[in-house]
Amino acid sequence: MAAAALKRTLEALCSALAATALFGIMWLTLVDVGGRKLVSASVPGSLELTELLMVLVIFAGLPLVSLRGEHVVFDSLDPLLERRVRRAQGFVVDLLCAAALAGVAWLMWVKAGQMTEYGDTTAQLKIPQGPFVYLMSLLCAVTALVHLLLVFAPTTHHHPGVT
Amino acid sequence: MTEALIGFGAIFLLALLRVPLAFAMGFVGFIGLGLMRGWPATAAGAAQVIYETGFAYTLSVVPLFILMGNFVARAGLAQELFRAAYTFVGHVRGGLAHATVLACAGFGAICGSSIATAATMSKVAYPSMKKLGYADYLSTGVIAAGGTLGIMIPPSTILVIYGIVTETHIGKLFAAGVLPGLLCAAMMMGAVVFITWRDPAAGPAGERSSWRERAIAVRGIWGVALLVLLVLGGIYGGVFTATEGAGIGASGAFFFALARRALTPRVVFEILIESARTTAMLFTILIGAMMFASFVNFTTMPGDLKDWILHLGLPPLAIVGAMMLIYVVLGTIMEELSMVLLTIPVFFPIVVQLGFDPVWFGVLIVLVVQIGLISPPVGMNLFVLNALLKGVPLAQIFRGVWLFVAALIVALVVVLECPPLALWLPGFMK
Repeated sequence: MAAAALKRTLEALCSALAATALFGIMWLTLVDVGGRKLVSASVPGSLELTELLMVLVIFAGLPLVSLRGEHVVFDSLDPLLERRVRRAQGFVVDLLCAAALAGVAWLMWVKAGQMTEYGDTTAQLKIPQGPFVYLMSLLCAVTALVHLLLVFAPTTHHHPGVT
Repeated sequence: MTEALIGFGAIFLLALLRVPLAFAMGFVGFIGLGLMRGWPATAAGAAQVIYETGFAYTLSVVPLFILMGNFVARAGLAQELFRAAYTFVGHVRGGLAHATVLACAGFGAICGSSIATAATMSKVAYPSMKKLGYADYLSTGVIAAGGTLGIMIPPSTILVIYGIVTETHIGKLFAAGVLPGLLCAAMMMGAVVFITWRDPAAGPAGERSSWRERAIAVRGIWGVALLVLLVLGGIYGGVFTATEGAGIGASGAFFFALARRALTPRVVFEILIESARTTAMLFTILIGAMMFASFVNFTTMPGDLKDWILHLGLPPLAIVGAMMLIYVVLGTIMEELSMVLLTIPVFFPIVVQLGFDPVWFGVLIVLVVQIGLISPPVGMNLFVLNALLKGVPLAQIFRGVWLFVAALIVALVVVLECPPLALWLPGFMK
């Protein structure tokens, strides 16, 4: 029960974050390009803002992809395997994914620390980049958590792919 | 050389164990590079790749084109495209199937995804074909095949990713896809003609429409036609970058759907989430593939293979032909995007060394991906149709698609033999 509630909360939070960021990129590009072509006035730092928003779209989208089991997998062997074998397989794969994502979260945490220390900012608007890299790390950690949750409550949904 | 081969082997093994391909590629790339180059440098390199892929302005072209396609799909445009195409070709034998190909081509000009195109058209075209008594093998075959026009006719997710990974101009790649896309559509219509000639009962003719009806049907799609002209014309004409064009396209599609009262706040939210998820999925694969590529590039494999192949003294076209053969065979069982991203670090340097244009090679890559998407046993478009059309057994879908696979293979050979088909249009761009 607790796992299901946690899943729902994470899904709602990440959905709101990713959707807002993507909508933001769309409007930002429209206003920026429209302004530049029509009245020769662009949005200052629009490039950087797009970059920061892209981070949110990708990394807040990641837990959602994992939650729904939409990562691209080679599943042609599935019909050949027994249910019990498949459950065990899912268990191992989710643990592996969780470990990999935890590793990435740690790498990005270290990177964020360095960037904060060096005081890295965006070129034009001087927005500190460190917090965004911390957020990347945090969202990777959330995705690792999602895979751990899936170990206990596997998903059955599968997405066909990306092309 | 050996290290890289072990790496490829490890990825296939992990994939067979059902590890998501993105993770398999990233994992193997990380471990491989770590063993060869030392862990601290590898860790810093991996963090840098992930950071740079996240903070990349040009990559925002990906979610924006996805968003554009999703908005237009929700606006119910596919129905009208299909209807308009039908008024022109409905009266010939297999007319609905021809209309499906044309509508897919039109939809492909807004949507950069083969799966989305096939899924959207299945809801529109299949019921009409069923009603007129079309054989399931023909209707599913033509929808699956037509869907692949989504990635050849610009915009195209595959071309964008190829452009990013190989640093090839995305606008030129888009321009290069136009004529081969039309060629593919023509080939598919040829396959429909052949099928309905052998088995006339599979695709009976419909009624002829009057010019008045045609004019009315065309009026329903002019808005989107304008949007396509604005976006692609702007990119080709150098008015926008691909990224800016994608932003304009997504906004235009949003207003278009809004004007047709297809959007509520809830629907907008759903479309945004769906697009964000597809983006995240793509980027995970992209990051995994880049980590694997940096490992492969550290090994001697790309160099060794290049030397070996150039040493053979084969005609350059035969070498590219052999690569295409490998892709077509691999594509029957592998997920296509991962297949392309895995092999690019090895194949691309050879192609460039042989003096071929990367833009032309990009179009060939899309063609093999198209073929892979509809060739059994593991063609994603076929599975999508199988999931959406509950009444049609997979065996029927498999049966109907072979002729379309053959049609696309002919198109592949034509583009291989005749590079100007891809390179003529981009030649006009600065």
